[in-house]
Amino acid sequence: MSAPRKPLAETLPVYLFLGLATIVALVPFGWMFLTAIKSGPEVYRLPPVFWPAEPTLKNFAAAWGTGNFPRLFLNSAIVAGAATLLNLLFDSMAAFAFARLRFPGREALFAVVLATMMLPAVVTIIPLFLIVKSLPALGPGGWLNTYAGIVAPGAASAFGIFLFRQYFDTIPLEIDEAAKIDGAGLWRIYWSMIMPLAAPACVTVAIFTFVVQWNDFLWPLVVATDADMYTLQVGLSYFTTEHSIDWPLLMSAAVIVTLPVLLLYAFLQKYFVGGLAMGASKE
Amino acid sequence: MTVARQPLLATLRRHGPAYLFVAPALLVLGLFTLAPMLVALALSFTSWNIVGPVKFVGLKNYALLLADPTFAHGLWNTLVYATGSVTFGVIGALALAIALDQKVPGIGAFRALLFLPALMSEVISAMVFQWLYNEQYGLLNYMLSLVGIGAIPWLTSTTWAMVAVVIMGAWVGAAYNAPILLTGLQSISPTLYEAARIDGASRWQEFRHVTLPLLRPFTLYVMVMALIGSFQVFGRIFVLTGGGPVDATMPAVQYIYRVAFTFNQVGYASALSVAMFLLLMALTWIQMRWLKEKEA
Repeated sequence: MSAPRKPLAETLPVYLFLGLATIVALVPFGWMFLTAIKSGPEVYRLPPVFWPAEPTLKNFAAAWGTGNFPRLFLNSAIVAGAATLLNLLFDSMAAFAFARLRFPGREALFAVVLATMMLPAVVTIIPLFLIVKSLPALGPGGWLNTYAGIVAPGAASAFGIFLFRQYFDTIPLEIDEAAKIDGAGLWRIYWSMIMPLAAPACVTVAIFTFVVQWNDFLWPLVVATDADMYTLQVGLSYFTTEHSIDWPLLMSAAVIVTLPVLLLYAFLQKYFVGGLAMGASKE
Repeated sequence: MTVARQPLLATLRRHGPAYLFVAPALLVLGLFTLAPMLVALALSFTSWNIVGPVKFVGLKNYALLLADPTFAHGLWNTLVYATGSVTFGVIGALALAIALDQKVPGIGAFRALLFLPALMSEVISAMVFQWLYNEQYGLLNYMLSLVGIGAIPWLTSTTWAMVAVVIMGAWVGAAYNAPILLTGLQSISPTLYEAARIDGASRWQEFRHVTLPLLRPFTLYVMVMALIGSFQVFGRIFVLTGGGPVDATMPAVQYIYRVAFTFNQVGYASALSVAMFLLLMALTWIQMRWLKEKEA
């Protein structure tokens, strides 16, 4: 950065505040990691032990082997992965039509899409359960306790459609017109011309969908009643209601569950903040 | 529009592909967001307990909920939580955004790190906070003991439990909203600050008369979304306190969840959720009016 040097009297308070804020923001993360690598008795010592005498990774192995943890990890990966792929396809298709095609009812339908963003989940959760339960073909409980049932309500999102539309608006229409003259159909134009140009929008939608789905709690809690169909978040939530909590074990599990999101963030940080700002800039 | 007068079939033939492009997303949103909304409204006029016939009862559920002390208690908890977490979350976010807007070396690292709380899931953050809040061995009470404050019963006292829940909500809210407000701050043209400085404005006057008014669309967005989000709070509190002790932190959504999935009173639960939705709409409207008025 080539910003001009500022006097210390000006930068020092900024660093002090930011340093303090960073500590407050990171203490829960730090304590989670530190507890995870302690041995059992060490967490019940006063004053608290910060860095363990003998850091251990055995809690991670133990957490992985508790209950059906690997199965829940797989469930979460399948659910978040499938929701991400479906959103990438469905949201971009809808946005392509909204941004680049003219058809009757276009603006009205787009308004309906945006309106779904305003409806709080609290109103829809009970009927959603009833609807998913009555969907045919996957068993007596409808789509309850199925991957399809967990994923379907989140398979498209107003946020994703909106974000793709914003991005598609920046791509010149001449591309479509040239392709049309060359005899390309709409699907060709969408899939082979526009989508490759929209890679940044794809990354933003993908990571947002993945993180939201990976972290989601209420819907999987409602739709999955069979322990083999729990996601990680649902499975973990039952841990804490037990009477004696094994904190190193629980914090190890928490680290394992948080790690995929942290890794995504480490590599794709700029897309997170870009996507977040999109919401506000539509005002 | 001339298009609207064409026969439906001709419209479909001509624009069919466009409708096919929007169909999958609209089907998902229609079936799983809009339809449930209408079903909730319809069910709210019935007494239905999952098994047995659906009986139309008119406005009886709404009369019942007005006199339901547990619902009133849940709403009160939700209001307290929403007020606390939105206020501290947005003030915290504003302070963070202003600090993160300073052009000092290393600011990129701070921006990256300070967003991290927004990435921790509801369940995990509630678990970690439960451990931090542990009365005997928790880190928080230990830190407080260093400055001479005795052990606080964070999760076992009806008063402190709500404080504990609000702190956790503000911790996430500040981190989540700071980048949005930062975008707002960066959209303010530096020439306005230069003009203010030439006119001899103090730092505070600059903030009060340049920053705040121009940031308003962003603060409005952040506050409205934070209110809507905090009204739906469930998972965080469910895992941190279970709504306890003795329902002291039970939010309205948890009560609705209980009525629907423990007591199986789907009709009544639907009425409760519609009532909550109406209340939320009213509050959002008041909030927007209030923030707009301050502008004038």
